[in-house]
Amino acid sequence: MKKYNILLSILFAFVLNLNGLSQCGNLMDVCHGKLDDARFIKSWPIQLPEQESGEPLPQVSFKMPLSSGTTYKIFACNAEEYPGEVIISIRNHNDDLVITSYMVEQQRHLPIIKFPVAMSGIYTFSFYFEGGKEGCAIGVVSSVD
Amino acid sequence: MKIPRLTTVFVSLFFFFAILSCQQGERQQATDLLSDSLIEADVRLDDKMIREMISSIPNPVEMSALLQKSGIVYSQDLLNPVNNINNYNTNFKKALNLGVYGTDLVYMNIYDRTISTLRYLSNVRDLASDLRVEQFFDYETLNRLSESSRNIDSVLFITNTGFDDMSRYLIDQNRGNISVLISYGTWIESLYIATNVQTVPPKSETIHTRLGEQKKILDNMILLLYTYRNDPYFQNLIDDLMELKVIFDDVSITYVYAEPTIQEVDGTVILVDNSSSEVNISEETVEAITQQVSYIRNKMVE
Amino acid sequence: MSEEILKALMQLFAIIAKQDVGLSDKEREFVENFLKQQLNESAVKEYLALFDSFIQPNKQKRQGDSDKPQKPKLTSVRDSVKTLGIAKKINKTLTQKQKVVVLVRLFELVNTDRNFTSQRMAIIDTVADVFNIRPEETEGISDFVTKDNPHELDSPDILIIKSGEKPNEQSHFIESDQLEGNIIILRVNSVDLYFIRYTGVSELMLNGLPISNQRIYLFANGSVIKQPKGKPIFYTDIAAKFLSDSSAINVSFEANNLGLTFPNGYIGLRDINLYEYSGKMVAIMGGSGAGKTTLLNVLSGIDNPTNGKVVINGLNLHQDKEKVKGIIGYIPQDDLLIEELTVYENLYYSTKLVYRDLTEEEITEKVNKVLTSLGLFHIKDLKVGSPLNKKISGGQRKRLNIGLELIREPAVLFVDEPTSGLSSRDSENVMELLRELTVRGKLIFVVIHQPSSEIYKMFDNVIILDEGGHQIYYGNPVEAVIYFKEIDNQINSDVGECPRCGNVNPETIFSIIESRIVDEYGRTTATRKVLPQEWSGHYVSKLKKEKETETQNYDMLPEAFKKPNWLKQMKIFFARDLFSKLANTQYMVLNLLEAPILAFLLAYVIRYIDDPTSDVYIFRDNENIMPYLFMCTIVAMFVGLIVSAEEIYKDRKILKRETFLNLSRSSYLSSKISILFIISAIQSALFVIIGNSILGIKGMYVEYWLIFFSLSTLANVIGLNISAAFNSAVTIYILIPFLIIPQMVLTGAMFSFDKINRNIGGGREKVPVIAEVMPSRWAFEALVVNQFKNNDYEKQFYHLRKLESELNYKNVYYIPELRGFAENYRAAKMANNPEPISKDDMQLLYNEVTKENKSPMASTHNIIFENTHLLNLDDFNMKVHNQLMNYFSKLQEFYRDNFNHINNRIDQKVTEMVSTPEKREAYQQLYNDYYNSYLARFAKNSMAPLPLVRLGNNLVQKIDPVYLSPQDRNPLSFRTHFLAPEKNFFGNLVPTFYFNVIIIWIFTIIAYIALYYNALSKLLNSLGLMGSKAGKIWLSIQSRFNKTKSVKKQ
Repeated sequence: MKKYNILLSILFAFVLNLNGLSQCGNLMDVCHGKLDDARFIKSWPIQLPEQESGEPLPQVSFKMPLSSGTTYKIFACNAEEYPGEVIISIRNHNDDLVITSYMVEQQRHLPIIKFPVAMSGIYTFSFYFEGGKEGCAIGVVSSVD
Repeated sequence: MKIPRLTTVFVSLFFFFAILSCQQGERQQATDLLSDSLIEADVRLDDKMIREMISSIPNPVEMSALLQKSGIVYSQDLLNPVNNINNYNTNFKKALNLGVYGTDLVYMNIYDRTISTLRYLSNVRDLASDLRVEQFFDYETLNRLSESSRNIDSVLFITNTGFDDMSRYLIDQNRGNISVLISYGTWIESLYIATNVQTVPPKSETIHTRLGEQKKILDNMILLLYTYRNDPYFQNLIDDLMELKVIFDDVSITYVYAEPTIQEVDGTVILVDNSSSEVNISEETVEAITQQVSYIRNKMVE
Repeated sequence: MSEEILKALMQLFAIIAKQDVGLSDKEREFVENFLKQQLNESAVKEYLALFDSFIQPNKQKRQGDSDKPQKPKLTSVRDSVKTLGIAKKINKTLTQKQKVVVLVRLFELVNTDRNFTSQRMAIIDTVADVFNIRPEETEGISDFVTKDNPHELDSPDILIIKSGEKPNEQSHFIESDQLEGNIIILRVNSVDLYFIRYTGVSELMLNGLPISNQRIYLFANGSVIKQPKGKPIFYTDIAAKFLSDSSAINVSFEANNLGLTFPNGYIGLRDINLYEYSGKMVAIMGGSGAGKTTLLNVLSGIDNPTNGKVVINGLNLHQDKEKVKGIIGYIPQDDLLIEELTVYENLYYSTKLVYRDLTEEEITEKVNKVLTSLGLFHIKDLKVGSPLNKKISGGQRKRLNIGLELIREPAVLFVDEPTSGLSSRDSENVMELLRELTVRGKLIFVVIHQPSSEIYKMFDNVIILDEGGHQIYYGNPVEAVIYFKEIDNQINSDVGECPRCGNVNPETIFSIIESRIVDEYGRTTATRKVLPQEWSGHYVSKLKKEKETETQNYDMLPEAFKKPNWLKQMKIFFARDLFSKLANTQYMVLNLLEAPILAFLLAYVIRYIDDPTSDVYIFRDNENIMPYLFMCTIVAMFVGLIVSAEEIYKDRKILKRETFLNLSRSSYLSSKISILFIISAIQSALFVIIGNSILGIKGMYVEYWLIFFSLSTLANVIGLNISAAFNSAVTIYILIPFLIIPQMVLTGAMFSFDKINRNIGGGREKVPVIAEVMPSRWAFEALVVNQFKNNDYEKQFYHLRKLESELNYKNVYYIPELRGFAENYRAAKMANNPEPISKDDMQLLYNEVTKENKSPMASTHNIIFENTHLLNLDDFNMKVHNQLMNYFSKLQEFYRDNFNHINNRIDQKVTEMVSTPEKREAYQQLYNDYYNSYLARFAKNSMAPLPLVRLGNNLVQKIDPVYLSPQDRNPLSFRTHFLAPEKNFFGNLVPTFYFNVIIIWIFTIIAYIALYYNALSKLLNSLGLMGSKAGKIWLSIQSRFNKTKSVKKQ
């Protein structure tokens, strides 16, 4: 019918970016190695902008119940195209820091945190990028037998 | 056929169409429905709090994994029958049972019962679609992944991400109530499975401890529902949970706080938390919880 | 003549001869001559001896007792008794005609010596009496035999040919100046026989044999009398005289220099000339391929000549068709009978179609009269049957076919090979029937092949054609033999018929015409001795020699018969077709059972219970409803095509004849279509009732029926098109898959329009054009949309859900997608990308924002982006970007809130509907019974890989098509995306169901017009012509190529 239809027949199909996670690539593929044979429980996408001067350090927190008697394997994977390296810190329901992935004294990052939980309760997982850099990562909680 | 006759045909066709197009009144009305919608927009709630609380509701993976790890046999009978989906007509029911079926799906996946997952997956999709949140379920991928038990983590990951994204989205869309209901359904179904599986000591110990730990979660759940207490259906749920809360009052959890210490494990220096908790829960309480959870759950899926 | 009869005759002769004066020598001589004509030499002696032995006793007596005159009286009484016995015996074996001949012979015997004693006459009277010959005819014969003076023969049954004045009042007269003496002809009316005697002494020849003035001859059909001087006198001249006072109109029929060249250049007829008038029967003969039928078709006005003209009573046949048509009848070689009807009914409907003014009684009377005259009255209630499944004989069939034409009494009749396939007995019967018609004043042209002598002689004239349409002879049939023999220099060339038996062998003519040159080894070669052109040359020179200038007075042509009006014709066609269908039990049973059986098979097979633990069938859970809808459309097409595909093909011969009769084609077609539509309506109803009730599709019978019926009727008309255009049943049935399979492929059910080849329009916004011409696609769409949208469940929610869908789409997919483009711009801008947005993306933003501004929802709530003019590469900047983002946020908020509102409304409605257990039960029932989940999934395109796609610089929604109104609201844009709930009609929205039904009916109307104008067969013909031309060009190229090759070889 309409001639221009034929001219415009090149069809562009595209996928919608509804899923916030995929904004910095599918990190689960990267993380799969770290998961190893642990049982996946939960994951969070983490994407933070660069810290602007005078502003507080950008960070993101999630709450999650953890049970006593279970050893949790907690880790994060960074998206390579961003400079920031993610740091995890976990606080209990009293807001006491119970574990972190960054050893301040040794200036060392722990790639994996093994957390044998003795006290059940709702813990808060906070994520930020070292030096307030822009970054994208995925945080994963899993359990080991 | 003479030409004039043909013209007559076309002219009468034209009028026929013209008459038909008058039926568009209904459509106009539908658009009019919009005008008053802005006026009665909901009072906005604290989305961040709701989101955090929803996130604190345990995800069914852990409970199922615990059951499986404890060597407790799989029990298909506990699951919500596939055909029950036909009974869910309202958004309220649909949201609740989206949670229920989601939990069932996780339970089946943990136990590698991949054959029947397909129908549950399809139910999840149908309910999500009815609730207009189908965009969060990559049905095709899930379908493909559930064919093999090796992909279980991917399935769980996608499901988890989907659920999280969906609840965030729903809250953003001022449809937090739906999100709360889904979480409620998920949680109750987890409890239902955990309380109704056949267990014998000492395996049951762990499960009972885990059950007792839900005391805090229950409080959060009630809080979440309370936000929507104006809805009589929500009020119903709250009433049920309040009864459950009474039972849970018999459960005591004692916390022992201690400073974390630095230890070297396998050549890695780590921080070790030395705090602990203890759950005290009697058999009778477990029984009472089981009863009340079953009551709530069966009401929910009927 | 059998031995017994001859013996009886001898006895009769003897009895008569020996009366009174006894046998004279002359009388004996007569008997001897008579025997000589019948028998060979030795047998003559034998019978003569027998005759003598019958005579002898009396003769002796006569010599002995010559002075006792009383005695013979006694003998006479005994002889009378004997005579009675013999006559009765003859009565049993001879036909009336033969008996008349015997009677004439008896008179002749007496006449030889003119001894008319009372006793002799008394015996003849006795014989005539026993023979049941009317006394006045006996008297007429007696007068004819005995009276020589023409003045005394004053009777209308007598014709006199002589020079000078008309001798008396009543007898007929032909003047012949140079004739010496009188030729007297008697017509015996009751048996339609002519006898001739001559009173002069000139040497007249009857059919090439000399006439003795002593004798009386039977003047048979096709006979000719030749005089030494003057022109020959033909049978028809005589017959015409006797019948000149009949009511038949006089017709003069003249063909001048007729020529016909076929479109492919082949010459079919060359320079044909003829002149005929009422009461003649003319044969058209020639070898195969000589153009006999072509000539017949041109003469009858079916085909137009390229040169020359046919003039009937001064009117040009091909130019004044309307005026002339009524008097022309055409009887093709093929059967025109409707097999399922009886002999009577066949004629009855034909009569009704031809005569408007006759009452039922008059028609019945007319039909019965014709049946009687055809000798078919006794079998009038037999079914005609097919030629293979014979109920009536071939001759009867043929006569009935002739009867179809006779009923309208055409003045000129064209008959194509009436005797082909008939036994010689049947052939003669049929030809005699035709011959009788000429006597009633009709002019008849007959194409005939290898006629027997009897038949050949019936013709008044014969036209002989030779290969390539050359006219090589035109004239008297017996003369023809002589003419060709003469040219071929054969001995006996002046004798046309076998002198003893009177047989004429027309084969002689053709063996002469087509004789081949014999080579030196005595083998016949393929080369003809005399080429068609040469024969034609001979003929032309002969023509010049004996050019006749004969003109006959002719009457004014009567008005063409008064055929019934359109509606009445239709009624008659309808009744005829209906009764012939009703009479075909097999057809009726199959057609009535086809749809319900298919429906049962289909529906029963695909009715299943999804839940393995349940025994209750739930419509909602049946995954096969969409395929069922699809099958409905295919079955409708198929059944419709099958019913009609052979209809016209089967009738094509009858149709050809009826076109010839100038009956309305549209009333014929309308009657066909009415019957087919009725069949389709019944079939549709049966299919839908059975199929839908088995599958539990509730409350949609009428809509399903309407779609099924509309599609079937369209298929009916398409089927009629095919059956009108193709000339074999096999072709027609081979064609059906070609019609059905594309319909299946392009329905949108088996293959999504998003997943078909892009070259034919797959994956666009609208349904591909190629699918738009598939009726099944419209029907399927109507069924799906209607089933989804208007079922008792969904219709309560549809308008809300439609709105909800639109809001959801905008909120969840559409606005975020647009946002994405703007965000990308920002990101690129931040990264200092020199070209932050492509031209196409900018255009897309412009297009979509402009569209969105116009959308009724956003515009009524005044959420409008006013700076669309800034949406171009030059003007777009961060400021505009921020405005745009702001606009998107507002829009999204608007859509989100309204979505929630509508979503809640729906939920409230549902919640209300399930508020009590009883209500919930009812709701559940409604939902299970009316709403099919799988069909809904299809209608909502839930499986779409993408909710929206980019097509060029536009975004196109792919999900929820059944909730999406047509986007293109251009008044002339009728096309939409697949499964649109409503269609655009001049700016108004019409529900898809009605729109599609009307589209199907428009297809039907177009197909009908094509059928009426026979467009398909015209198209095929022109394609065929192109093909043959291409073939010719190809051949010429090839031959040229071959030539160059052979040249090269040399």
